[in-house]
Amino acid sequence: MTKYIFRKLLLAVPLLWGVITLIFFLVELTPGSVADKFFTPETPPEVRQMIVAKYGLDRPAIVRYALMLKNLAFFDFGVSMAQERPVFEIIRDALPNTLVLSAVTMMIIFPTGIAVGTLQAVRHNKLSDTGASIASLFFYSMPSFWLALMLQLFIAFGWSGFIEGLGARGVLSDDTVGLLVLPSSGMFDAVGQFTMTTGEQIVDRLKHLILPGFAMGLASAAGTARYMRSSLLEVVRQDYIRTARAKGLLERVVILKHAMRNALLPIITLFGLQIPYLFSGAVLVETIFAWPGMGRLIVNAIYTQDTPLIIALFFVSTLLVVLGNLIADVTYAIVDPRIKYD
Amino acid sequence: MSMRRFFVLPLLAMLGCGGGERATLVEQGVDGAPQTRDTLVIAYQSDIGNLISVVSETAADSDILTNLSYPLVDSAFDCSLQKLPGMATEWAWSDDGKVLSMTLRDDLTWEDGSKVTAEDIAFTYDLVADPSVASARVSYIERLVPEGRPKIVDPTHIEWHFTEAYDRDTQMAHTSALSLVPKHVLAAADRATLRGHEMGKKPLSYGPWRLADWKPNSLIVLEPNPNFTGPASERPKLNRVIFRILPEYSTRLIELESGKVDMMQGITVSDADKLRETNPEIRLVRRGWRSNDYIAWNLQNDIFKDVRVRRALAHAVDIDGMIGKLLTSRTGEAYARRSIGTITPELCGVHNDDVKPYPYDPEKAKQLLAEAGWKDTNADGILDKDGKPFEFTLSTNTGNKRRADIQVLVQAQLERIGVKVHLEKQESNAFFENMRKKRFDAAVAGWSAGLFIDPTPLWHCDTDERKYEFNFVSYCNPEVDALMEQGLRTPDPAEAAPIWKDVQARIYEDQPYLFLWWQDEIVGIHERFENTKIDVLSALNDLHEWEVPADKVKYKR
Repeated sequence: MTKYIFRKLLLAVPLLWGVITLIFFLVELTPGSVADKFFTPETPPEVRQMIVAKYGLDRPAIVRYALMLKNLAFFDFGVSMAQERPVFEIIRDALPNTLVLSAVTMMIIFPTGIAVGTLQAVRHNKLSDTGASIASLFFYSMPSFWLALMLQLFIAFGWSGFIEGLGARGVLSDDTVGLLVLPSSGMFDAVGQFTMTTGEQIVDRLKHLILPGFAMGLASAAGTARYMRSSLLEVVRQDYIRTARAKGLLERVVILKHAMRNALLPIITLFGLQIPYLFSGAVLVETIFAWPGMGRLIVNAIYTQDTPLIIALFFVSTLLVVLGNLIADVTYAIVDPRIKYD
Repeated sequence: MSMRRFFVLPLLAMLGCGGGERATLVEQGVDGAPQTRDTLVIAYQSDIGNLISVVSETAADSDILTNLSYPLVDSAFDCSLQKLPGMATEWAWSDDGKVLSMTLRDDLTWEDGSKVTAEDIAFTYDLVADPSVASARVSYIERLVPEGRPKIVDPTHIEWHFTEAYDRDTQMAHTSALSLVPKHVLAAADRATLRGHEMGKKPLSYGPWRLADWKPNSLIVLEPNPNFTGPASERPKLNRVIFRILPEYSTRLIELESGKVDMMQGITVSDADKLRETNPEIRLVRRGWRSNDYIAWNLQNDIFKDVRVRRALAHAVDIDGMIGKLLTSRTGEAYARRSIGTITPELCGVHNDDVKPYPYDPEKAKQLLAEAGWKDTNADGILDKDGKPFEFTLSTNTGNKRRADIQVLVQAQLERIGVKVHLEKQESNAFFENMRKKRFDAAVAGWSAGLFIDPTPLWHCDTDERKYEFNFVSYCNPEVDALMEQGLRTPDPAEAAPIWKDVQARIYEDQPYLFLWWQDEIVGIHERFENTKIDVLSALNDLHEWEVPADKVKYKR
């Protein structure tokens, strides 16, 4: 096993190199450069030259590429050209925001997906199964940015407006209104933060996580439910489940204790594959909900052609894909004794 | 308000819990200054980058910096830039227009209590002049002697010496458009890495507001600067101003509609129509003629070399009809007016109102094209000349719905006179690179207005490609060049005005662009805010004067 892990990690090095090389030259081939943002028609050519030189953009691409590889070998990501801040600092600012949102998303994807899938399998071919299948297909086929916009429109704007209306007419108390209204963007109440108690701030932060969490997680939860349903249906047809039932065990025990363990195997794989997304954030959802996370960072870096930042972000996400796959492989071997790695 | 805002990007290019430190509110007025109340929440599209003025770049940087500083010479806009006393209480020009003497106030302090002095002014210009800083403001000091810095006569008097007299508004702007940087903090800083200096994120204020908090890509909070020592009348009247960074237009709009933000810029005409009905508490303000749209004809392309062809195309496009379709509200209010050049009509003394835009006249267009030799000889519905059909590609950048609409409307209208137009959309960076490298037939693009007049980057013949790469269309008219050079050398704006009017008339005659229109930016602001100054100079003019009457306060703290 150790050998297997070591070999996998070693194989990651050429993979990382390939990705970085590809990204570097793709950015190189893109029209324009990071220095363009300084240039207006009035910028004198000598100033442009000065700025281009300052960023080292006057050196041949191959020299900059070699320099970058050398720095990356020491995990030195350098300084962002567009933001003039160490890349490490920029990622440090954005990563926690993405992690919080991803954690919530995971909590929506897996518990919801597993619960719905299990219920569907237990009530196989009943009305509730068909209903849940239609609902999960509906959400599974919906692009996350569309869902985000709809949640914003119908929940943050429509529902919250309705609740506020009830509050204004005295039907609901101010506290209830405050609790039921969901914000449409941001990480916290920009004005309220100055007057809220710590408890209120925590509630406020949690409320801000709900809509982006659902926008990011609902489609995957629906997918997970589909996997869980078919996996559980396959397992319950097996002999050992018949034996368990014949022993006179309660159906609840049969499903939860005996069938679930095996049925969860493919879900563990799914979980492993989700790990990279934990860190990379979701570009569109973060933009729509104004969430200052990694997704927006990547888009902005690409728009401004901020090579050091782009390279660092792709470096980190490639590494995470490798690690995510490795964790899935290892977990698999642990859960299923038939799988062995030499 | 300083004139900096318009000078930074003059012509543009199209192109955890706790919430930071708790506010130190100015609950009680000091020295008779009014008590502050309420919070202004602004939906803001992009984050700030760097708040050290000599290396700051974006309009957002400038919006924030303006409020953290006290202008050397303040400005207002009324047909042209008006200068008002700021840190310089009075100023005088020498007879030859080459020396500008200023008398300075000595009561201003930085947020940390140190005095703002003439040394800070000189130091700011030293940084601009230092090549290791690579400041994009180098043009400010090009004609300043000695060494691009002001001469300090005594602590309250400075002199600016120029190598020559040029447009006086620009000359003045070159002395006072920059926010100052504190010498006592930055003197020892490494200039080559100035952009990375902490001051860029945590600037020292010497203006009415201070930067209380900045969470990257999330929000920026301004609060009254408790150590502001300028005139008491210029102390802020609001508790706080919060800029929420909301990159997505639809998010900004929903936040405005639901009352979570109080102000939003760049509202489209159709959304303004909707807001008028659903949100009467939002006041819709027009900012003035700030940006234009045009179609650039690549004059290196044989089709467009003949001026009769370009004039014919101008007659063939129903521009007023397009304004009616694209930029007119349901109430019939037009948010655009036809343009005849790249000098904004806001500069009313300089804009040439005598030039009348070509009327929509397809017959005249056909006649002009026939004169130029374009006829449909093979009866395929498309004009041709020497065996070549009249067809070209009209490109624009992606992500701009208005320009995409323009493309389609122009395509349909030109088809009617027998001109075949292919449409193309390119990613913005690629599009502008192609424009600069002249790799296009015709393109829909736009400029934002500059309030200082220098049309040379767009229209000068000079073949120096680096210097004139924004002359996308390769326009060249030596008479216009001579006039522009004469205009730039004329210090008195009133004397220069007729020259600029002549330049506009000649360029319009030549039709290097199909000039479409100037359009107005619509800003929405909650009606409880009074004394707001939203105009062509800035959407956030004199923020310290904005206030809310006591009975309309929304946020108590």
